[in-house]
Amino acid sequence: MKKEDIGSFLKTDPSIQEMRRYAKMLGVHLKRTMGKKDIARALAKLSDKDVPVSSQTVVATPSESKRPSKPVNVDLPRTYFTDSITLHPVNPYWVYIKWDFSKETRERLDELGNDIFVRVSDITNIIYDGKNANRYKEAKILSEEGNWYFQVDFPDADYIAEIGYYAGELFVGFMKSKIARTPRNTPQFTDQETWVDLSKGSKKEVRVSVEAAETSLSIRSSGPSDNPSSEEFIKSISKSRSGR
Amino acid sequence: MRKGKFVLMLHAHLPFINHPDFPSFMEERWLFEAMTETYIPLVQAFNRLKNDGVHFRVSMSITPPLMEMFANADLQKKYLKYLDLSIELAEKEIERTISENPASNRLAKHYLKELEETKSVYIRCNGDLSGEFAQLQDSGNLEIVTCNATHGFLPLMTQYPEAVNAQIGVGVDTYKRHMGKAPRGIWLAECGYVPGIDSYLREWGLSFFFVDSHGLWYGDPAPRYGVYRPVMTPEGVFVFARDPESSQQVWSAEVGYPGDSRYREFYRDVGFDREEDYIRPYIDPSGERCNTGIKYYRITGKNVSLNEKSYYDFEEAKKATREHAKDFAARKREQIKRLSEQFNGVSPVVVAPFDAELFGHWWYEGPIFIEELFRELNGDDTVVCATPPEVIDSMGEVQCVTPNISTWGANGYNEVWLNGRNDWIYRHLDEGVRRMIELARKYEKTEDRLKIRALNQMARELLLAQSSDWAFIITTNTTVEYAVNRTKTHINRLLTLYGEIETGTIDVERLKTLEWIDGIFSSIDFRVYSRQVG
Repeated sequence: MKKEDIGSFLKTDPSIQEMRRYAKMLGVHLKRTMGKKDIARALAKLSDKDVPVSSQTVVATPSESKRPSKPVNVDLPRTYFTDSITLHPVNPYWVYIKWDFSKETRERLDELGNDIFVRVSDITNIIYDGKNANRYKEAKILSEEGNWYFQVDFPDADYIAEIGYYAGELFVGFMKSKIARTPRNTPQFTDQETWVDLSKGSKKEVRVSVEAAETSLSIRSSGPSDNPSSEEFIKSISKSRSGR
Repeated sequence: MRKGKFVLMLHAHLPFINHPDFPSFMEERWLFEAMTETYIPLVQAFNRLKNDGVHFRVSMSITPPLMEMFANADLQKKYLKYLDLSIELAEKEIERTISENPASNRLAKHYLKELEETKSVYIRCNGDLSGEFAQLQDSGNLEIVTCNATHGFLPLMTQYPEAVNAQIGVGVDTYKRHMGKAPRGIWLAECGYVPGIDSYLREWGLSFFFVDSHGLWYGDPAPRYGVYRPVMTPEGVFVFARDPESSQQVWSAEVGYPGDSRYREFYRDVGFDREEDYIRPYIDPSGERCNTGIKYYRITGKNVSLNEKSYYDFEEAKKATREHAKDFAARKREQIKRLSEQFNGVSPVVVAPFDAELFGHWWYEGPIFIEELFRELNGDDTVVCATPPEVIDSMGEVQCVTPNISTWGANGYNEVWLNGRNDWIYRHLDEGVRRMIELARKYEKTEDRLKIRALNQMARELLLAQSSDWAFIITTNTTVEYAVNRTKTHINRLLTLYGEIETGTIDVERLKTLEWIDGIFSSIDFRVYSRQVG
């Protein structure tokens, strides 16, 4: 805070409340008994010193803490007590699932006492009815809020995640994620191309020979064995920078 | 004559780091270093090219956090202080190196001159670096695109269309506020694309974006010309894809230009080399050593240890940039001729995107390389430098392709931003989004000024927490503590605001503080989260 800034503030004929707030913002200790003149004197005294705080304190007020912008390692909730399940592809061969349960669900499951499973199903090219998945994988879950990485069989496939339990032989899913698709890692050649004439805005379909379109381009993608949650895997990617 | 177009794309980005209540803050140096070493040297190189009448075209994304930091009065003031200290150090170094070595003394004088020029550019433009780049856009040399608001990683937000929409919408609005006009294109953070994102781009009036090579190679269908012609998504948005050859020539650890033995060694800096008492005023006040930008050594050789490096010779390094620019231009000519033949005369488009900070910050001579490259290509018969809109304007027809899910991170998908080290972030980010949408809809029509301010601040905290930089830093194991704490702190502030809004107990003083310290996007409207999208 510059000397002239404090001076200009005092010239605006502030109320005693405004002066108190201003003094607090600058960390000036005031006694309850101090009147306007006393506070003005305390501020004027401060303005003689070169207070090493940011220029922007002129227009804003820091709260109780003198350094409120310092990021801190605050504890965030382990659970938000909401029923949720999300599925994301990590790469063509791995998906990530996370879940959380509401209090009601937790109570219901406690009463039920069954083992709870997280399941990922391949539902590519079908209308999924809960029983007709092309294939699925599952794991017993140990916590009511958690996550799991599943290795899946196919890139370019639709997956859905569910949480459920077994009633006899029957899997009873009670939470379902949105569908997510794994990325492709090979070219998708077709004999039909669509082109847009930019001057007319019209579209045309063109038939091409697939052989002519093929290229030998490829990139390395994470193979099925690299678990994205493992330290070895993270070390292998951590040296790379974006833009390379 | 076989001709093709060359699109150089520089992605300029740093996360929003603003600690106005600290006289100096270590992580704020990231901005100051990038300004001194990359952004201002690029402005200088571009202006020299413009003044010399050289035909050059560069596409640049200047991300919303970067534009906001450029315009932040407090950071501007701190930057000038940083420059003054750097100048003071260079002056001391001139004295000190007289008795050390003529090479380091020559370099100290070089750094002093360079820093004084940097300062004069900064003062001349009154700290308005966005304005400097905007002038180059007005003259047709630059095409500046926007980026999603805080560089949030969109592929992991797709569960919440409102979150994707807000990231893009706030990115567009911030660009308009700083550049005075709407952006025509966008750089999606980390090149992160998932089919469907293009519909938001169209909604926000954006006509093109970029993907990594496999975004098109594995697109649906595989495009006829691979990555060498832009395509159009089903939503009518143009897509430009990265040319792997260009990246390899510049970036490769084995054959990339920046590894030449004549170039400056990044990891030898007087900030680490000088004795503590001497260097203390120029490093972090905590005494933690850091780069000062004054470096006297060259790479020397691949297997030469840091303490065996030879002195750097700026004139020799400049010679190397000319050689490398010539070589790169020759390779582009050869590549374009080869592709033209393969494509039966259809003109190829070669797109070379890079992190802007590579040029100058990591590769000290990078901005000179860019300048030399455009001088080399000036009036070239084969390689025509162009911006994406110029390429689009020159096209008669375009193939329709849906790009593949892709990013430009290691291995090409989501693993850099989603793995065992950083996956904990997403539980909290998703909850933040859910609560933001809930309150945005609940209070969409509120006229309570205080509530509106609190809701706007909640949106800022969410956007700041979503910055992809935090997950990236956690993976790369660099300044992990800062990244973890930034994520947690923004989420915590968001949760507290949520509670206060819902219970009608908004702490005005605390809100003021948050508006000050997390004061990005001054004109944000929380209602961007209330819209039904997707």
